[in-house]
Amino acid sequence: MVRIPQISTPTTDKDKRRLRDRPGLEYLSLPLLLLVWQVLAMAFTNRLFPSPVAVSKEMWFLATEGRLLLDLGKTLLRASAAFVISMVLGTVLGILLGRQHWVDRLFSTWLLVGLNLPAIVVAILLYIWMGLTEGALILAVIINKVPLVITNIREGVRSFSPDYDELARALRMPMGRRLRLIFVPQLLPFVLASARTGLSLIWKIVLVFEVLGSDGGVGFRVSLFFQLFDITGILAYTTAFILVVMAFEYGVNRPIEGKVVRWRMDPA
Amino acid sequence: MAHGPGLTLNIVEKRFDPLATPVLDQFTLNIAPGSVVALVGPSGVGKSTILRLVAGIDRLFSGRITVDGIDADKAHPPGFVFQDPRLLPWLTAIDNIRAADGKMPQATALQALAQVGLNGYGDAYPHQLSGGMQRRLALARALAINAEVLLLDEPFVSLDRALVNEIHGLLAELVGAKRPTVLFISHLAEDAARLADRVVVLAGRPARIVDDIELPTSRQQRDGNIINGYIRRIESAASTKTGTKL
Repeated sequence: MVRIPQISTPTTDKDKRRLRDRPGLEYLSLPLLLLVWQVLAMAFTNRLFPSPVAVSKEMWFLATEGRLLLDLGKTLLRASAAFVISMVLGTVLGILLGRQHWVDRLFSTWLLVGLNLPAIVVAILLYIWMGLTEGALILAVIINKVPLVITNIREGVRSFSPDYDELARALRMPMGRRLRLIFVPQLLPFVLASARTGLSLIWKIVLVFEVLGSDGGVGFRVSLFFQLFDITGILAYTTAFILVVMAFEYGVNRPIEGKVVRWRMDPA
Repeated sequence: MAHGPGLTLNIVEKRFDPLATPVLDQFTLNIAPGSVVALVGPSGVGKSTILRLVAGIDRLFSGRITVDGIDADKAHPPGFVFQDPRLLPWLTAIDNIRAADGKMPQATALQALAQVGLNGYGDAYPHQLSGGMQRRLALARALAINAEVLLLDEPFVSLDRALVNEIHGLLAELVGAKRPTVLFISHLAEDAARLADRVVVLAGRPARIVDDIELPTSRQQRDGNIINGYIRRIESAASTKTGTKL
């Protein structure tokens, strides 16, 4: 007997969800990007548009013979310092503004100015005032990032449900438990969202500021390659940097987020 | 047999808006140790406000509420069941129960879960439970702390009758075994007729006690006829004294 293969179509929400959540789909994303890049490089065949293979070779060469790892380390150190300080400062101030209405009103214009201050202007001013120092670069990044974290956290605090405060009062929870069981879990999704957007923003700002004035780092090296029209070198540095960011995203950020907001997952 | 404490409410005034009529004014209510009292009355009369004052959720009032002579906010915390389950969505069922008391052993929480028929759901998050199961979990949280005072704010609202009967049975069993003092709100005369020893009917603004009905037959001995008789009596009191139907 011949069996006719059945084509199943997603008819129910469950089927659709299964298709949407099919494992492995996101692993195709990067090879697809490389494939498109390779096809474009083959179509243009120009030294100004190197292929992914050429860039990989250059990256390996710069890592083993050049200063790629040293520059990466320098940039990562700057970005990490700026990130940690921005997150701590922004979270504390965001909570304060979210809880104390009068503080929020008093500093709302400051926040607006901070959000709209062009990053490049801050960097130039600080370089003039403090010189081309490590401190000036990190401070410039912090000044650019903190208003964003404050805004995110403030909105998070404002969205806290008063129902849970009532529950805490009914259960006579002491302050420590109230913070751990009621306050922090409501705040964490906003902290994580700030961390994610903050990180991507900080990488970019640090690189721009390194181009503007620095004695090393990815941005500094890219600006040198730019003067030599060395596109392969620029892309090698960029790719290496993106790899580090992706390693952080998949190795640190997502697992933490998965654990912390597990309770938000769809029912099976 | 040991029983829950007596409650004394002497509320001089409770208002939400300084310019509006107070919700409670010179309001007094004494609740005997180990008794089950139902508060009934039209919506907005102040029933939930009374419960929140007794629980210490709202402390902005003038007057004094005592539990066996001790100020309510210094007494042992009561078990409180809100109108909504009010579970912490980021905690599992077992952790939601343990949130009620930092020192609660895991075994006690598991026992409370089993008591409300949620055996095996300890690791489930609230969103993985049905509405009825969430209600039961909220009840388990209130029961697990072994509170001597239970405050239930419309615990049966929007539940199907089968589940309500189930929870009635559970509460009656608990009240029989541990004799806590229970103050609960219900908009259904049947809930009061099945569970309460006493029904306090409230009306007006500021709220006044317009009727105070004793239900003398013990819960175990209440059959259908007795319950129906109580229902009629409560409904009649509510409609004649408050002008609203329960």
